[in-house]
Formats: sequence, structure tokens, C-alpha cells
Amino acid sequence: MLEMVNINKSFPGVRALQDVTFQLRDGEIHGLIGENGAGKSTLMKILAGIYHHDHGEIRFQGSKQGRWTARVIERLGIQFIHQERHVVPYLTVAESLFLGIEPTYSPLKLINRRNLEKQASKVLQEKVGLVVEGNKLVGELTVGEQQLVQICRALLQNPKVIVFDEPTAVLAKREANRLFEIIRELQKNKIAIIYISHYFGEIIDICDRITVLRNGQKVDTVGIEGLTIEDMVQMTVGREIVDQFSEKNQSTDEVLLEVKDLTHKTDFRHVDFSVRKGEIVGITGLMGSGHTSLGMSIYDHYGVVNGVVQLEGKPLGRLKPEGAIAKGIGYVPEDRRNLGIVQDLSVRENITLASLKRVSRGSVINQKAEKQKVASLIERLAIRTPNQEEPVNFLSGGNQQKVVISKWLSSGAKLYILNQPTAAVDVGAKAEIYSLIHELAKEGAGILLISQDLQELVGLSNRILVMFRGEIIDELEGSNVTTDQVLVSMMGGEQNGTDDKIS
Amino acid sequence: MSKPIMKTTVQTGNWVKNGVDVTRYTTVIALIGVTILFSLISPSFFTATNIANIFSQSAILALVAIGLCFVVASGGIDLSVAVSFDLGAMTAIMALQAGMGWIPAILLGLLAGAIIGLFNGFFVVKLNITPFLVTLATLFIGESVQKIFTKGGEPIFLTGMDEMYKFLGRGSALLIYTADGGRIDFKFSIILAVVLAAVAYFILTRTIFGRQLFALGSQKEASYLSGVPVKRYTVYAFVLSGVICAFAGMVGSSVLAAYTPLSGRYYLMDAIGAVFIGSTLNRQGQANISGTLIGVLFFGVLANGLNLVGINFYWQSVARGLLIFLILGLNSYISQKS
Amino acid sequence: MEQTTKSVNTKAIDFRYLLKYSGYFAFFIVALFFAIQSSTFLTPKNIINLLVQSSPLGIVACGMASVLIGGGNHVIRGGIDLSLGNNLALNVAVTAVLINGGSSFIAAFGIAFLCSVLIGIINAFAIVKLKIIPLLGTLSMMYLLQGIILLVSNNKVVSVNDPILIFIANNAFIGLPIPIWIFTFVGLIFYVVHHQSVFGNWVYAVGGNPLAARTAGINVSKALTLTYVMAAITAAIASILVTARLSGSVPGVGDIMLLDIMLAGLMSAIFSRLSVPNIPGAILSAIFVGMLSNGFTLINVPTYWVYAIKGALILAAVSITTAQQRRMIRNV
Repeated sequence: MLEMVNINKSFPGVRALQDVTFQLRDGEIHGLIGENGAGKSTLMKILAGIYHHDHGEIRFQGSKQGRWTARVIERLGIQFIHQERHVVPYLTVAESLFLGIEPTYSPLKLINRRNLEKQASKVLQEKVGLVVEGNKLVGELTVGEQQLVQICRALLQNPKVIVFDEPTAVLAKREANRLFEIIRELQKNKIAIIYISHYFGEIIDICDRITVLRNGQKVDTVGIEGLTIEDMVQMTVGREIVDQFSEKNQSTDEVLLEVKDLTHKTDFRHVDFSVRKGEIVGITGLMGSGHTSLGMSIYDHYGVVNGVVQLEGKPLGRLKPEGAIAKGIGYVPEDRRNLGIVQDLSVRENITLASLKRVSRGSVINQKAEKQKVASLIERLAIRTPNQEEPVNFLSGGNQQKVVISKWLSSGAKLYILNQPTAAVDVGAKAEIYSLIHELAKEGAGILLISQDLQELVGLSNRILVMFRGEIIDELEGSNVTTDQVLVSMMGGEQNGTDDKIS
Repeated sequence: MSKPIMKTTVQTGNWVKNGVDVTRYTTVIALIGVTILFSLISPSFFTATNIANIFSQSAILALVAIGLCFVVASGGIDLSVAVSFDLGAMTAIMALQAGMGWIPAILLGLLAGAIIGLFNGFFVVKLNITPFLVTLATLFIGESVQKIFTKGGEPIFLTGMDEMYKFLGRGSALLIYTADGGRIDFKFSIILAVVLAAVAYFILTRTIFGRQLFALGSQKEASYLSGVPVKRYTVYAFVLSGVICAFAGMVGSSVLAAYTPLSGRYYLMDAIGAVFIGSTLNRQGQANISGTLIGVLFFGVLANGLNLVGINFYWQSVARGLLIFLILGLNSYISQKS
Repeated sequence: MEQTTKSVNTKAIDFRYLLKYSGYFAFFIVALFFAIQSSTFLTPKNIINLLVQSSPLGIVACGMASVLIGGGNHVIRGGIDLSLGNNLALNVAVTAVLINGGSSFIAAFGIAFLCSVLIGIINAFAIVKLKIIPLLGTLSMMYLLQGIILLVSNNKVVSVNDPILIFIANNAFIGLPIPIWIFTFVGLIFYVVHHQSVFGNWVYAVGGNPLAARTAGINVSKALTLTYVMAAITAAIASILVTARLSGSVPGVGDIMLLDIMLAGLMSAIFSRLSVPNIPGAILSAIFVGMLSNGFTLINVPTYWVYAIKGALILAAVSITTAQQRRMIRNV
């Protein structure tokens, strides 16, 4: 029904797309995969009318479309669920649900607020099964709920095609499952879906066909039957990645981090565990189980009401990040764009931000030493950047993440707390980050890996701690742990029939 | 998902040569252009005497703008530079009047500036109020305090001002009498401004404090997580701004041998203008000392040149506004084109 | 554990309830103070007087709030219009000079009004198309207007004696002076536009997250342009009241008003649950500022002190609401 034929697009110095042809059939779920920079997002931005293609044509239901503008796209019924959550935190659910498509009751375009709110909560429940008050603020919803509002907004416009761009990158397993149900439901209603994701497992689960892009060219479009994750990796990378995960290190006996009875005012309580030197400890749980704020609390003591954190036998006390860094802790936050990197600074300035004292005499920065240090880190981590002075926001997600990690390499961290380190990072960079994590552990660093990606947890961790409703309920050890085991354990508390949401 | 990494050296057209981004230097080019224009129209413009005048006249604005630079670098704004300026002068002059020596008088003046900075910093950091509102309130309070102390705004004239204090604003660093009786007078205040600019440049670009100040100005939360003492440095920025502007006020009062209440306002908008015009010279639009000085000189050259060319005072204001507007517009237009 | 969380929660809700009205609370306390200190404060005559005095500021504050809403809350890159004060002053000068030159009030004001709209459009062009940050773009517009005002008014007081202006200054309609009616009318229109209309939602969306607004199909440039033009129009309307009150044009009126306009616009956020600028807040802030001047005069505080107390009170009022702001930041 939708065809993009021989699409070409160049940016200054880069050929982003070269003769890419993409066909979407009626009512199918079509996966679109490829590394970052392969051209997926450029292709979708052309489809969204944000970029205009240099050559090629777009056909919709067989007829060639001339000017491909936002208005035409809207009229044809193509909707986009963007990867970045486009929300205005201080609008209400009703306001953002109907934003731009408000039903109006008079030529003056006045709003009947109460009516709108009532309608919003009704529609949300009907279309996406979200039970929420229409006057609640969007900023108060969880990420998953915000996404459901976005999806519902798309559905209100009677779409024929919906494009999902990395919808699950920020979702917990459970929210993702709900999303998949909704997507299958849409398919039944004859809506065609383009599904972009780095998670090949879920692509296999829900897609009918996939199109693979690499370096701006189409590799192939194939049916999903019989395809394995390995096949897909090979197609996207163009070579075989033997094994993303190398053999696990043997951790030492020396205890690096010891957490005793740590209790947060709302998110978790009575948490006890330790991390040894050279050990990778994974922590996971359902959304809202407290594992994500645990990392932050160890780092800056935020919200901690009770308990002790010791590093190499010495209690950390109430430290700000400043002090934690001095003691040898490095924290890679989940929200890379806003919390990981400082966007206006260059690659060099980002890398040394936390370790300026190490390249300074007194409080004066030794520029030569700084440049040398950054150069060696860029080389070691294979960060792809034109030069050290490049603003960090021009880099791809994977390379930005490498910059964040090298910040802590530069500060000489002994303990790395990694919160979703590979979210929205492409396969190639992912493998590199994995081997880096591995290497760090081998050199004797302790690693606390907080993740929703079970594959990476199982592949990397020496031990996996599972949290549920703010408490550690399980510890899985040994090299034979499977993702299924972890999943069962995560659901652990549910067997008692309780709701997993904590307020 | 990544946008394709632009290779800045290729294809960006004529505007990029040898890695130097010409688009950022519209203001510099405009400054040179205006200078040439004035030189052509008025023979007395590009003379040593007049250049010395321009620099001398710009020194005080330069000091205020340098102070403001620290706060803008930290992602804030400081409207109270006007009252730091005034209260610095007021304190020092009152101290001198009370018979104190010039050193304690200046120190007291600087202290006044520091207190204003601390006050601003407290409300911004502890109570998380937007710097716009805090410093606006400080501006109101500070101006009122001056009226209270001066019984409604009477200037305080100093007779028999301390020689050293007088030297701050009136002393010459370099005074040459030309053969035809001209006076080339580079004021001592130029040296003050240049030295302070150099120190500020060094602090902002070469020290840990400066680097981290820019970081928190760009993204506060990320900087916090990277160990930047966000609150402390924000307060430092306000204190530095207060102290430097108080010093500027003292130099100003030294020129007039008097403290004139509410004269700081005169510099407020120009200082903001200079800092932000200067920030267009930076690739990421950050405040920077060299750009700020260019902005200050731009204001100085315009004021002086328009005067010399013989344009009436009213038209001067229009011409000044129009030029600033055009140059900013041109700057944006060109950098968007490339 | 359950028990404690629960009780903490209820407390938090009560606290929030208080905070929601903290701006109003501060307003009320100050009014109460004046009422106790001065028997004339709460007389109808004084209240009307106070409202008349606050009318021009209140009208422009609505415009400033529009710009603040649409521009977002970033200190340096956020929306602001520093040219509003001088826009108003230019209007006053143009109207006064034209009337003295023999034009009718309608013609004079018509021309002045068009000037204002043009200024708004130029501001919007600089900000939306040329992408100059609002602070800098409107600052340079302010410089330009300062010059033009000097040219137009010759830096002198220009007195006018126009029947319509005298009528506006001295007459009442159903017991309320005309400036109050104009204030009410403008305030209502802005309230409806920003808080009861689709367009209002769009402007909030543009200020909160321009990208989100764009993907929702909102024309961001158009919305922003409209906020700057609307702000310019408020300056034009307020200029009638200022011209009427001063019976002409007085040099420096724009620079004096600018800070109050910024204050009222920025302070509007304390009258909001979410600490975002809003129209009722802008109106109340303007009245608050007017009330301080009025009240301090009534209780014979020396004029030198007024601004100091004003500044301190504003800081205090704003400080009350910050706990709530901090919580929102955590949530968002």
C-alpha cells in the first residue's frame, strides 16, 4: 500500500540514502532494522516530511504522490510514534491527547475542558486500555503511560499506517508486552505498521517481514519465518559477530562495594548486597521495582533514609557526586541526552569533566596533558568523532555513551554503576560496549549493571540480583542462568496475585 | 538515532576556510567595517588621540560586562550589576568621606559587591528562583537603598579625594603630547580593564572552575552527576559578578570624583548587549571574554564615531539600535545559510 | 511501612493544596496588612484608584505573559520581550505628537497602533526566522525604539489636550472608570485565548516542548509570531491609558515601565499550581505591584523605601512557591 521507490538523499559530505526501495503491504507489521547511521531514521524522516528526498518517489495505495508534505501525510493517514517522548509535562492528559486535533465546539475554538477530560479518559480506556484521569498531568505519568497517550492520539486520527520508532527502548518488559498486544490489535484492524527497533528478539516476535538497511543502502527485505537473531545481526553489521559476550571473568574475593540495609524513602528498602573486585553484578526487576533508583542512591545518597554503603571497607556516608567520584565511583545514567552528556561541550570537555584535577596543576588545567589523555581514550574506546573539539551532541548515541563511559575511565573509577548502558544503542556499538565492560572487570573494577535487557544481563553478569517491589527477592548465580529464569524470577511476586505497581 | 555526522571541513561552502568558521565573526567584521566607515567620513576618528578616547570611555563598560560574563556563563542572568556598580561606589565614597584610606575604602566597596552577589546566589541556589526575578528584586532593593542613604538621590561629591583613589579612573597610563598640541591619553582604567579581562579569560578557559562553570551553564543536572559543585559555583559566579561590578562602580566614581545614585542602570543594558553580542562569536553561543570585549568596543566605537561624524544625538540612538539589529540579523542569517 | 507512606502522602497533598494558593495567600496577607494600617485602603474609592493605576501595567503584563508562555522557561534562551516598555512609550509619543500636529485621536492612535504591530512582527521575525535568542533580539529592538522615541518626542514632554483622552481619563461607565473597563476587557480576552481556547493549549505546548508541538502538527512559528504580536498590541492598548493619565508623553516612561512589566510577567508563575506563567497570575501580579505602591503611599512610607520593600516582598512571595517548583522538576 505504501511504496518508497529508489529514494536518494544526500547531506553535505554524506550520502545518507542510496536507491532505497521500501514496500509496505496492507495490514502487515514490517520491521526496519540497521545500525545507527544506516539510514533508518533518514528514511522515516523523509516519510514524515521532515526531510525531502533528492530523487525517487513515494506511492500510496498505488498512486504516485507529488509533493510529500506534512499535510498530505496527515490526510493519507500516516502516523508516527517517535522515539523521543514528545511530551509537554505540564499539560494535562486530555490536553496532550487532543493536542493539535482538538474537537472544538465553536468557531472561536473554545475548549470545554471538563468535557474534554471526560472524553479523554474514556477514549484512552477504550483504545489502549489505559485507566487515567483526564486532568492528570502528563509529567506525572510513567514513560509507558505517556507512550500510550501518544499512541491513542495517533489512533484518534484514523490512521492507515503507524510508524513506531524504538518504542520499547524505555519500557519495562511488562509495558512492552502490553504494547505488543496493542500492535497486534491494530494489525487486526487493517492498520499497517512500520516497526523500528534494535531489539531483534521483539522484531522476531511481532513482525511479518523485515527490511534491513546498511550504510544508506537496502540489504534486503525478507519474511520473518526461520530468521534467527544471528541472521539479523549478520545482515545489519555485514559480518558475523561471533559472540557478543566473551567468557566471563573469574571475580576476585576482595569485596569492593558493600551495601547494608539500604532503604529509600519510597523506592526500595532493606537492600543488602556486595560487589567484589572484577565482578559484574546485574540488577533487574519490573518497572518500579526500585532497581533504577538504587543505582542513583548509591551514587549520591538521594532519598536514602537508612542503611550503609561501604567502598573498600570504608563507609561512604552522605556524599554528593563530587565526593563519590573522588572515592572512585562512576555513574552512567539512564537518560544519556540530559544527564549523561553535557550537550554544549566538546567531546574533550565531556570526557575530562569529572577528572579535571587529574590533568591540572593546582586548579589550572594542563591542556597538553588533557589532550593526550583524551586522545588515548578516544583511541581505546574507538569513539568515532572527527576530532576532540566536536560538540558531543553531533555524535551518534553509541558514541555518546562511549564518551560517558570514558569520563569514568578518565577519573579512574573502581566501581562503575551502569544504568541501562545500551538503551537505544546500535548492535555494533553495543558489542563494543560489552567488551569494554568486560575489559574493565578484568582489570579489577567492580561493575553494577542495572538493566532491563535480559540478554545482556545474562551474557555479562557473574551474578544477577532480582528486585521486586523495592526488595531483592532473588539472586541468580553461575554461568548457566537463562533469560527465562530471570524473567520468571522477576515476575516472582506476581504469583501471589498482587499488583506489581507500587505507589 | 544519529544524524549523519557532518564533516565540517567539506561542503559547508565558502564560509568555512581552513577550519575557521567565518560565520561566527560577523560582529568582528562589522566592527572593522564601522571603524573604516567612520575613518573615511571623519578625519579625526582614526587618530591616536581619539582611539585613546574610545578605549578610555569603554573601560568601565568593559569591567561591568566582564563581571556579567561569569553569571551568563553559568546559565543565569544578573540585572543587579547596576546596583553592585552603584553600591560599590557609594560604599567606597562614603568610606573615603569618613576619612578612611583608599585601600580600606576599596575593600569595603568590593565587600558591598560580594554581599549583593551572595544575596543573589542564596535565592537562586537555595530557593531555586529564576535569576531574572531574583536579580530584578535586588535591583529594586538596591536602588531604594541608595535613595534612602542619599535622601532621595543627591550625589555625594568628594572634595579632596584621595590621590590614589582618584588615579583609578582619572590617572593616565600613557600620556603623550603631540607636536601640534594634541593629547593622547590612555587612561589607567584601560589597564585595569585589560588586566581584569586577561584574568577572567584565564579563569574561564584554563581553570577547573571555568570549565565546570560552562558545563553547569549548559546542563545543570548532567554537570551535577559529573561531580560539578553546581550550587557553590553558581554562588561564586554571582559573587564574582558583584565584586567586579562594584569595582567598576568605584572606577566610575573616581572619574566623576563623586558618587551619583542610580548611575549603574546606564550600563546595565549595554553590558547585557555586549555579553550576548559576544556570545555570537562562540560556536555554541556561550558567553566569552574576547567576544564580550568586541561587543564593548562596538558600543564604544559607535558612540564615539556617531558623535564625531556630527550626527545629532537623537539620530545616534536610532543609528545605534538599527546597526545592532542589522548585525545580529545578518549574523543569524549567514550562520543559518551555511 | 505502608502506614507511614500513607500518612506522608496525605500530608503532601494538604501541603500541595496550600502551595497551590500560596500566591493568592501572599496577596491576601499584604492586602490585609494595608487594610489594618490604613482605614482608607479598603474604601471603594481607593480600590478603584488602585485598579486604575494598575491598568496599563496589567494590560502589558498579559502580553508579556503570552511571550513567556510561548517561549519556555529557559533563563537565557526562553521567551521574553524587553522592547515592550519602549513599544508602549513610542506609542504614547507618536499619539501625542500626532494629536498636537492636528490629527484626530483615532488617526493618531491608528498610526501608533500600526507601529506597535510592526514592532511585534519584526521581533517575531528576528526570533522565529533569524533565530536570534529573544533576550538579545528584543534588547536590540529596545535600543532602536529608544532612539526613535527621542526623535519623535524630541526628548521633551508633549502635552495633549484631546477630548477623547480626557474622556477616558475622567469618565466612568456603570460606576467604574473607563481604564478599568479596558483592563477587564483585555484581561478577559487574554484569559479566554490562553486558558479556554485551543490556541492557548498550543502556545503552552510550544513553550513546554517545541518538538512535541511540532510533531502534533502545530505551526510553532506561527504560534510564536502571534505571541509577540499580541504582546505588542497590549503595549499599544496600554499606551492609550498612559497617554490619558499623563495627558501626553513624558520621556523615559518606557524604561521605567519595563522592569515592572518583566516583574509582573515573571511573577505570574507564583499564581499557578505548576509554576508556569499564566494570565490570571499576570493580572494579579500587576495589581499586587500597584497595591504595594498605593498602600505604602497611604501609610506614609517614604517613597525611597517603597522599592526596597517591594523588592523584598516580591522575593518573599516568590520564595514561598519554590518547594513546589522543585517537586515538579523531579517529576518531569
